Amino acid sequence: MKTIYILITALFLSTTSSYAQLEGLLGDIMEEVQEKVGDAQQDAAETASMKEFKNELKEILAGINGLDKYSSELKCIYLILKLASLDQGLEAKIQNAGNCKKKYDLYGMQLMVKASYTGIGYCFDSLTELLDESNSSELLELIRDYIELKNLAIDCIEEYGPNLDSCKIPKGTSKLERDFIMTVGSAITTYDTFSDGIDDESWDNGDRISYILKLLSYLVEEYNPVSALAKSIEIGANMSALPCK
Amino acid sequence: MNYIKLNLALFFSLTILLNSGCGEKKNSRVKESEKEPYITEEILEEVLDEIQAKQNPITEKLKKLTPLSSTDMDAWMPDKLGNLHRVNYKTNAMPASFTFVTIARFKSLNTSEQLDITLMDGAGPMGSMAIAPFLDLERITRATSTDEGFQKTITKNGTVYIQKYNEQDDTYFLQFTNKDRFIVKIETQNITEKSLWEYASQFHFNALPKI
Repeated sequence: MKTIYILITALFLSTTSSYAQLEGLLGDIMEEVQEKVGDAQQDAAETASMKEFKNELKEILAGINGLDKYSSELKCIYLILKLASLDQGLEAKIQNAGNCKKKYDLYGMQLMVKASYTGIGYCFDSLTELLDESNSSELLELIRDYIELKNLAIDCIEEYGPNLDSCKIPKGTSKLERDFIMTVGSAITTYDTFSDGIDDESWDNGDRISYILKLLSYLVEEYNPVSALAKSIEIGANMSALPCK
Repeated sequence: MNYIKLNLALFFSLTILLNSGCGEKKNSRVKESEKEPYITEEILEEVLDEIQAKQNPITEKLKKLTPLSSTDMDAWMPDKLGNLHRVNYKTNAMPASFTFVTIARFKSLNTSEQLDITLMDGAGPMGSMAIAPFLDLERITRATSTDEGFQKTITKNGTVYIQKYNEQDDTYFLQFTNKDRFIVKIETQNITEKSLWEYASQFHFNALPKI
């Protein structure tokens, strides 16, 4: 019953169309989760983790407001990547959670992430439209902008510790913008990691563009609101199956 | 009973989704700055056509596989390579890319010898896309030699290796794919060509899973 309550509450988010509404509803859903799902005997650490999670989610969704100089598509990619990263992190924690109540809590958090995708439904519409062949000039512009971000991010990846000398992100860049550049830019650096050392004329930009397009298609297919809601049902079933529900 | 409720919830959610608006869209375009001139609309259209036409059987298989876990990689990655000790190691080193990349650095405690390995598992939806351009390294047949060093393609036991050397900083670069599933890059500093191959052979690539 608790699961159904969360699901129904989460569905309200699917009607949201602006961040302000989303933020308000996020607050509501978190309160409901705390009240309905959270056990009265929930320990302090779990309560703190829920609070921390709520703030993290709010921060991510608020981030979009401070990045006006970037295109709406790039901001959307940022939001999707941030939520997807949270989603993946929770998935890993769920797999390793030994404690039933902890697992239940984590599932609840994952439901909130899934619900958040519905709040940025316009992002998926916009990217799907762009990925349509008929919009190739706009798509080209997005790819160029994306590669610029990747070029900024690539030398700032601290694989073996801080490498501030080679990092091209200007000093004074806000923490949010730095996170934006690193999150969006880093998503396509795998290609560069393995192609940079190869010096050959057969190695052209076609492969790079193809990789960017496939990444975008993957994000749209994997995390769109319909897919997220379908997965929410799966999560709900998993929660119901837990002995501590 | 719960399943009926779950199905109802799904039905309502889809109805709401289909009827809801698409939300506001920010209109600001990215700042006007230097664009990369070599990416043209023609290239983009070619790529779009290729994506639609190409169905690579290897990447299709890889797509359905689960990438290695950090625990698997912990068991595989050696602590030592001859006289080189592992000084840095990270699994899932590029989480934002949705691919499973592992990096490790090995160093000599007495000399300036150093070896870095970067390895990506091509399993999974994103891994299979990321490895795709590197599955046909044999297309790189051009050997170059300059005052600074050389690049060549070598085939050993059926594996195609791209090998590069930079004389200025005495660095070797070796890249290859393993069993059409892993892409491996090894970079060294102050290590001879003979030692490069000796160290490379100490990684148990045969123990890595197949497609």
